[in-house]
This record gives sequence, structure tokens and C-alpha cells, in this order.
Amino acid sequence: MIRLMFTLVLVASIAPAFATPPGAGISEARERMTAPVSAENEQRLLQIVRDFAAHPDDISVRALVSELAGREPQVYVRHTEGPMLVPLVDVGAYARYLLTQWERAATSKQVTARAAKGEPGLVEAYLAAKPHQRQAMTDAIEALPVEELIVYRESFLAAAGKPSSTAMVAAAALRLTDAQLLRTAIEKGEGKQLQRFVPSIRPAFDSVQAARLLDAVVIHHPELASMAILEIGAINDAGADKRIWSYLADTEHGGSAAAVLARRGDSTTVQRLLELADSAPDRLLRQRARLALRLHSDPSVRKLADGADR
Amino acid sequence: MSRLLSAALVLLLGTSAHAVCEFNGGTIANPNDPECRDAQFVFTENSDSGNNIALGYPPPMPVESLTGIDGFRTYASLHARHQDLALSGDAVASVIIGQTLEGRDIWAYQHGDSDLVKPDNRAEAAMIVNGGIHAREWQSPEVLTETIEQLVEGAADGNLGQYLHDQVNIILIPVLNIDGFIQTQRFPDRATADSRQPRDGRMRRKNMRNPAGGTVDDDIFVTGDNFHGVDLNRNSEHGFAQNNGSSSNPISLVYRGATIASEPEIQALVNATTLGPAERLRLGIDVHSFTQVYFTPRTANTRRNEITERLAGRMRAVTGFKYRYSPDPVNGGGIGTVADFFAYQFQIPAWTLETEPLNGGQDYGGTGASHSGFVLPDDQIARTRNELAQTLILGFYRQAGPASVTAAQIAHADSGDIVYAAQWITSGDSRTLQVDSDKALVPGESYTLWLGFDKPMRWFDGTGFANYPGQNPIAQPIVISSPDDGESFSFDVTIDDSVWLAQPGGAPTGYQMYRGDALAATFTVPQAISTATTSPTAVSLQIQLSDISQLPIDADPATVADWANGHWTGVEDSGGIAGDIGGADCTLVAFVANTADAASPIKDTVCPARALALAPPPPPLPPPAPAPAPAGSGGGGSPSPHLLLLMGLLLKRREQ
Ligand SMILES: [Zn+2]
Repeated sequence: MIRLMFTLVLVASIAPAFATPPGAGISEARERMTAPVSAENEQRLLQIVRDFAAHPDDISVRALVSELAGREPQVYVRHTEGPMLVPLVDVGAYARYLLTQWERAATSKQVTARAAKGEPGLVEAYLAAKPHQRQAMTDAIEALPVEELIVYRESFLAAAGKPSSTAMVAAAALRLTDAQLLRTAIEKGEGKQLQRFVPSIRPAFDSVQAARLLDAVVIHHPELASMAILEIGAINDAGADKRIWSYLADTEHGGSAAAVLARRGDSTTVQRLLELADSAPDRLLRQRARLALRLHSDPSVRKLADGADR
Repeated sequence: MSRLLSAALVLLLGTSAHAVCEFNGGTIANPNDPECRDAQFVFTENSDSGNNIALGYPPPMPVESLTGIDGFRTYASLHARHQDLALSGDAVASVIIGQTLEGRDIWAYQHGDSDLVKPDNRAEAAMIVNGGIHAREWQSPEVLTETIEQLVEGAADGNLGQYLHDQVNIILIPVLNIDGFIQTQRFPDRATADSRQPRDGRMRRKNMRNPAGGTVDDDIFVTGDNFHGVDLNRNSEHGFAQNNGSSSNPISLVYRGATIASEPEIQALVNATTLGPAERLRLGIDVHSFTQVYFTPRTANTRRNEITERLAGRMRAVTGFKYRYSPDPVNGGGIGTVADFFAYQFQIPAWTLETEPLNGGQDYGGTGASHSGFVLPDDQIARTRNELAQTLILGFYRQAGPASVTAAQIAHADSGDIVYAAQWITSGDSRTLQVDSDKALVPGESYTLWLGFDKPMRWFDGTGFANYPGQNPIAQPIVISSPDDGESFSFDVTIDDSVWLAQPGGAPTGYQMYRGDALAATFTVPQAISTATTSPTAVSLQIQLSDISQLPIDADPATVADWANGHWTGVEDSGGIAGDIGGADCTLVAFVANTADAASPIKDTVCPARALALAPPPPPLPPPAPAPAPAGSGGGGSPSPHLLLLMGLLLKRREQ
């Protein structure tokens, strides 16, 4: 019985995507929506909805997906640890995702089209958009050709003071490799939106600029400071190195600086840490030096942190 | 019976990713077939093409940050964070409890002062929480880390946090299965085998045990060992190899290992329990993901089981009862999980805490792809770990034990003259009430009653007293009443947030050790009593309060509350009967007389019948667990779902 079910699933999963128009899928879906409940039926229905992804502009597809968005999971399986059930297949969830995804794709397309024509109002449109649309717009901005994006630079700079614009401005600044614009976004922006851009700063800018920008993150966004310090620690530059050593004595940031120094295997670093651990006048600094040495002596931690193991 | 079915979770989700492993119940029939062995797929945000599986949100990547961010931290970051907290302050200490199979140190963090004794010289209660036993359940180490962070942050808060620091020994293991966890972080968006039962990479569950000896390799490319490893949550003593709850097949997801505690990670966990020491343990929780539920073993000990259910109820209230409560059959024997070990070995409240999501990634707008429940979106983790850290902290506080009255003082409101003063003096397991002052309360006069307790009774949220999330403690008036015989009378002392003390100094206007561990309330003895009372009349103070977690006070401080054999000891109800509920304390007896210089009458310390009648209501029963059906996932409008449970079918096919 089970084996039979798998066979059916396999057949379903290798079925080709529909050629346009997806009429056959629609009629099959309609039949399956009212068919007796079975795992196979739900699997197949899910596959049909997946295949609809390529047809956002087909009115009957859209109507059907909207209808399916209200469908509750029909088939459950047990949790490994106890008698709870999780949906085996959730056609409704996929349909809801698809509707959102289509909306996002349309939003993204609008941004691309507007930029291609150099039309004004991009920033205003962003500020008026809903959060999930903003995400789509940011994604589109990150993919725009630099020569199209640069037209909007002044409007990004003007908008950088608004916390709601942080993601858009940071995305544009990184796309344009514009340190001034990014600095403004960091200084005036919202940390929550900035987080995902922090790891992109180091690859995008030269070491001096990157260290300055990351330092601005440390100063303006305490919740991102540790992340930024670990990024500064990966910059091979005397200025960045000096920053790390100075952070080691900082109450808030000392742990992050210690984590950076722990990854350096060179004898100069280790010697300096040993001296600090032994005789630094400040108790917290001694403790942070000890922390660095303890982390340094744990090869498993070092190995992963180096990225050599990824 | 439920556990009989639990071994095999087989998700049949057919995706466009190749489905080429043949399943046989909980095992794979063709693990060495290259079509199965070498299959790989990639979690993506939006692409379902080829071997990609769309989650509907970006697959979380481990982030380098010692402090909590919107997302998941790398093991290196988490470890550095724990070590920093341990080395740079004295709120938490680090202890190596063992090594993983690959030789990594496994750390426990002990929150609390180093003496392990309370101010009364009695041994502290101990609690243990384990995290990261299943590699792919990234929520768990985050919850443990947030708990350590909140405990450290609160260690000097002058309230609940400081009480925990001073008087409770909390053992936290943030990541037990470090090798497995690191393996999942090496491949944050990849897994092998089959999307219906993904293995290794991001979807590794087990440790890195190679049944042929040593460990499996840490690549996921072209290897036959992706299925190997021991399910550390089946390797413990209680229920090991019983109830079909685990498997003897090394490639099974629930492979139990060769023998009880064969795995060094489980040996480390056992070591950690000795940090309590074991006989002081009162709570054990193992944090997993997902399905938003407390899977709770029930032993043969009824009192333990009932205490566990009430405790879980108050903890579930912290998150608005969105976590379900799922008790095992009574004395079912377990299936070798860590929660079974805690429950059966130590007879303490214990459960497997499964974090969010309830259903899977669809709870947050995702596609609901198979196993997406193990991949909580980045933007949900900060909230989840905060909520569960708050939940755990309430549990530690409650299991520290029922509060009891430590001292009382009644002073004349105008003159400040002390009319009544008494304190409980502890010696070993018992206390005696030392009455230092005993003068008459006079009708028509106003007094201030100061009462001290041995734990903070109200939560201080930083600005003032408030209810801890989800809690609504009993705040009944203190009733001052004469015996029931003859011309009986009584009057109330109103208790509200304004009576709790946030300034130090002890009686008559300050707290003892922690904000909210004492109250001062003013009352007037009704003038009318003067005509009813011709001779000095004893009056008992019926104190009927509960702590922050709604646990009623111990009605009789004469026997010191403690924990043994799976229940409270030295805890009495309003009638003086030992039990686990507590009740109204009537042990403080003052007297009323028409003149201030009247002599004290002979006193009776038994609660009047009126107090018994006022006994605290049993804690509200948590709402029944929702049917294990869909919650919040529906878009509305569709008829109620038919459930097709596949497990009955699967049971027939499972191994053994
Ligand atoms: Zn688990």
C-alpha cells in the first residue's frame, strides 16, 4: 500500500511542467479538490499548484490559486518525539505563498521598468509600499544596472534620514559602492533593516573604507556591534587591527574582540594576549585576554570560524 | 500506545527534487544505491527547479555575532558568547562535562552564586536544561543562550533574577551535540538523500557515530555515511530499546546506539546532572524543535505528575498557551529520551520542549516544504528565544519552591509603636516562631502590617511591580479574624500592587533581600468590635497569597518546604495537611482588646473555618490541548479538514 503510494508520488514528481495554457492542470485540480482525501491526492494537488507558478498572468490560474489558498491541510503525519501531528502536505500554504510571490515579482518588475526609463518617484513608491513589497523593491534595486540606479542617488540620500528607508538606501549604496550614502544609512537607519547588509560591507569597499563603515555600525547600532567587530577583525589592515585591540578593553565589545583575536594563530598576537592576561591593569581586560587565549586553544572552534571548514 | 507509533516520521512530500531513496518504515531500503546515497538538494527562497526546494523565505545562514541578532549564530559565536559571559562576570560559571565523539569539549554553564546554599544555610534547588541534542534544531541553542543571557542580565536586578542567582543552581547545556550542530552549519542550505526524509548537511539529527567505528566524515558529497549516527535522544536509560520508540538499525533517524549511554554526549549529560547535585534537581527540560508542544513523560508518581502539569500550565501561560501540553501514558516507561531520563531517574518535572513552528515554515508565510519546521525564518528567532527564555525563567522561579512567611510586624500607624512582631527562626528542617512583641490592637486605631516572605512575591519589570507575562497571582485580602466560637468578627487588609515594597531596609517600610519580598499595608481595626469584644480576643492573620507564578504559599512555615521523591515536602495546606498545593497561613496570631495595655490572651493557631473555606482555588486548568490539527494555517472558507493519518499504515511497515 505504502509502496504503491510512493510509486504514484514518483510519477507525479517527474511529470513535466504544463505547456501553456495550463487548462489541464486547472481541471485536474478542480477534480482533486473534491476527491476523497488521500496523500496521493494532496501530493498531486501540490504539484499542480507548483506548476502554476509559471502562470501569474492567467486569470483562471489566479482564481484557482486564490481559492486553494484557503485549503486546510488534509493529511498529517506524526512527530518523531510524540503524538503530535504535522501536515504532510499543505497545498493552501503553497497557494498563499504563490500569491505573495506573484505580487512581489510584479512589484519588482515595476521597479525595474521604472528605472529603465529613469522615471522619478522610486523612493516615494518605496516609502508608500507594504513591507513585503519593500522587500521585493530592495531585491530589484540590488539587481539594477549601476548607470540606472545612480540617477536616484540624490533622492536616496535625501530619504536616508527616514528609518523606514534603511534597507532601500543600504541596498542602493552597496550596489553603487557609495560609502557616503551607506554611511548616512548607517548613521540614521534602523538596525533591524541594516543587519543583512553588514556582511556585504567588507567585500564591497577597500579596507580603510570598510573599517570606517563597520565602525559606524558599532557606534550607531549596539545590537549589530558584535557582528561588525567580527567583520572588522577579518580586515587585513593595520587600522582595523588597532581598532580590535582597543575594543578588547571595552565592557560591551571586549568579548567580540577576543573572539577575533582568538582566530589569529601568530605568535605576536598570542604573546601580547599572554602579557595582557597576566599583567593588564584592568581586570576586565585581563579576563578578555584570557577569553581570547581559551578560545584560541579550542581547535574545533577555530576551525569552523576560519571558514576553512565550510 | 502513542509512543508505539512514534518512531517513524516519514514525510512523503513529492517535490521536483529527486525522490530516490526507498523508504521502509523509519529506514531507507537502498542507502548504498548511488541514486539515493549521492542525492542532494538545496533549500532556496523561491526556486523549486531541479533539486531546489523553495522555503518561501531566505534559508537562514549562521551569522557571526556573539550577541543575539535576527537570526542564528554560528557555533563559534555562541561558544565565544557563553565563555565571555562566564569569564567576565560572576553570574555564571563554565564547566566541561565531557567531550563529543570528535573530541570537542562539551560545556555546561552554571548560573548562580558558587556556594550552592541559601541564606538559611539550606542546599539550593537545582534545575537543568539541555539544548542542541538534535543537530538541525537550531532554535534550541539560541533559546539556551538567550536564557543564559537573561539570567546574567538579571543577576543583580534586585528581584526575580537576583533571587535565582542567590538561591537556585541552574545548569544549562547550550549545545550537547556539537559535532552534529557544526555539521549542519557547514551546509546551511543543503541536505542529502531525499526531501521526504532528508539526511545530513542541514538536516542532520544524530551525532557523528560511524557504526563501523569512529566517526562519519563531514562531507555530504558522494558518501554512504550520511545516514549514520546515533539519535542521542534515544540513548538514555529509561525505555532504551523498549516500546518500539527507537530503532536498532544504524541508519534509522531514531537509531538508539549500541548500549545505554553508549554515546559520550549522553555520558556528558549524565555528568551535568551531578552538578545539581542530582538529589537537588527539581526540573529538567530538553529543548528541541518543532511543533510547539511540551512532550511530557508521566511516571508512576501521581504527585510528581500533577505538579508537572500545573508547572507546565503556568509556563505555557507565559506564551499565551500557544504551546500544547502532551502527556505520555502514566508510567509508560519512556523511549530512552533525555526527558525520560530526567523524569524517571530523578522523579522531577521534565519534558521535551518543542519550539515553534507549529506546522512548518507555512506558519510564517513560507511554502510549508517538507521539514521546513526545522528551518525557522531568521526574523522569527529573536522573538522565539525571548519568549522561551522568559518561560524557562518562570519555571526556575516556581520550582525553587512555595514561598513562606518569614516575619511579620504590626506597628501603630501614627506613633510607629510596634504592637506585634514575630519571625520564623530556621534550624535544620524546621522553624520556630519567635514572637518579639505582642500588644493589643485597639478598635478604632490604624496600624501598618509589614510581612516578609522568603522569595520575591511580585515581579518588578524595571519600573514597577507588574504581572509576569501570563500570570495573575492571587492577591486576596489578608483577613484578620477571631476564632469562630462566640462573638466572632473579622476585617480585611487590602492587598494590591501598592503594598509591595521596592525600597530596601526591612520592616516597617522596606523589603528584606529582594524587591517584592515584603509588603506593608495599613488597616484600621473597626470601632464596632469594641462592643463585641469585652475581653482580649486572639486574632489570626489569614495570609492567602501566591508567588509570581501563582504558586500559593506554604501555609505552615514551621516545616521548611523542600523537594524529595517527586513532590514537595514540608508544604501544608490551610488545614495543616502536607501536600503540594499550599494554602492560607494562619500561624501569626495577634490580639484585639479595648485598651492598649491589655494582656495577651491564650492563643489558638489553627486557621478558623472561614479561612479553610477561603482556601486558594486550584490553579486554573490550562485549556485543553487543541486537537492535533491545523492551527492558524487556514485561509478560511474551506470545510473542516479530513485527517488521514498515515502512521497506522507506517506502523505495519516499520522495522523490528
Ligand atoms: Zn529534536
